[in-house]
Amino acid sequence: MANEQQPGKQLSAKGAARRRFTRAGAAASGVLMTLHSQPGMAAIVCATPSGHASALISARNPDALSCSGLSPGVWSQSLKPRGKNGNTPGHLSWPISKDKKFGSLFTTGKAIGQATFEQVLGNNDPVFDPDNLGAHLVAAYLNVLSGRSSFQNEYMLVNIWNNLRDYGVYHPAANVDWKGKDVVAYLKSTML
Amino acid sequence: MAQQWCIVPGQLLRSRSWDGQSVLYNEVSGATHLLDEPMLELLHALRDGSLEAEDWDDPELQQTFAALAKLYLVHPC
Repeated sequence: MANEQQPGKQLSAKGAARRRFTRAGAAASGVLMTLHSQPGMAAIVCATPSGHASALISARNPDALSCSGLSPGVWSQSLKPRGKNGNTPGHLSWPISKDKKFGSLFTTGKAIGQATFEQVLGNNDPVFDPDNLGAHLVAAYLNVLSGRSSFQNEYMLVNIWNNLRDYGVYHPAANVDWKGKDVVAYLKSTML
Repeated sequence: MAQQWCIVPGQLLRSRSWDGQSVLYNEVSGATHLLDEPMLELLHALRDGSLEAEDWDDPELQQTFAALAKLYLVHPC
């Protein structure tokens, strides 16, 4: 093999480093988690679910940067008109229509599937949205689309939903079981 | 010619390691990063000037450095 050390030939330190990085290092390594310390605020963990549940899981893409997700309440409030006459648009523009159906992304036969994103955010009925999971997934999705949570993506959120819907549990890592409230706790930790 | 990268000035790469993982304090952002061992070794190699032309030409390494740049750990030089 071309990369094998020749008998009797000492491998230089630089050569060893190069082989390690190019053959295995960069592809398999990464920044697993970033703990931001912000003055006056609680530390915020920015990580994928696997990185959050187990630091042993390697995040292939160390692009775990943007960790300024907004909560369901903030996204909901942002739609409310402002000003004395109520004719000033909300303080935050949504990256997608507020009327997008929850079920168009997070498929389900339950009532929440027919509700719009705006309605899901505004409905705290525990029967309609147990653990407020739907509201937090909507907020997380909006955070992804608006670039506030670059360490998550749409497919990750849909996968969480599908697993909880079909099996009642999501496995962020081997031997780690998350129920709906655990997922909500994780999603909350990625929001300001 | 491939992009070359340097450690951001002020980064001291202060870290503690155990069981193949390390925590690294980011002097610029104030964040603490949990890294695996190859990543810390890569940063040390960059600081020590141990990377060679073959490394800079590696697209995966370039992608890794671009991601590290967003953490303010490295920058183009």
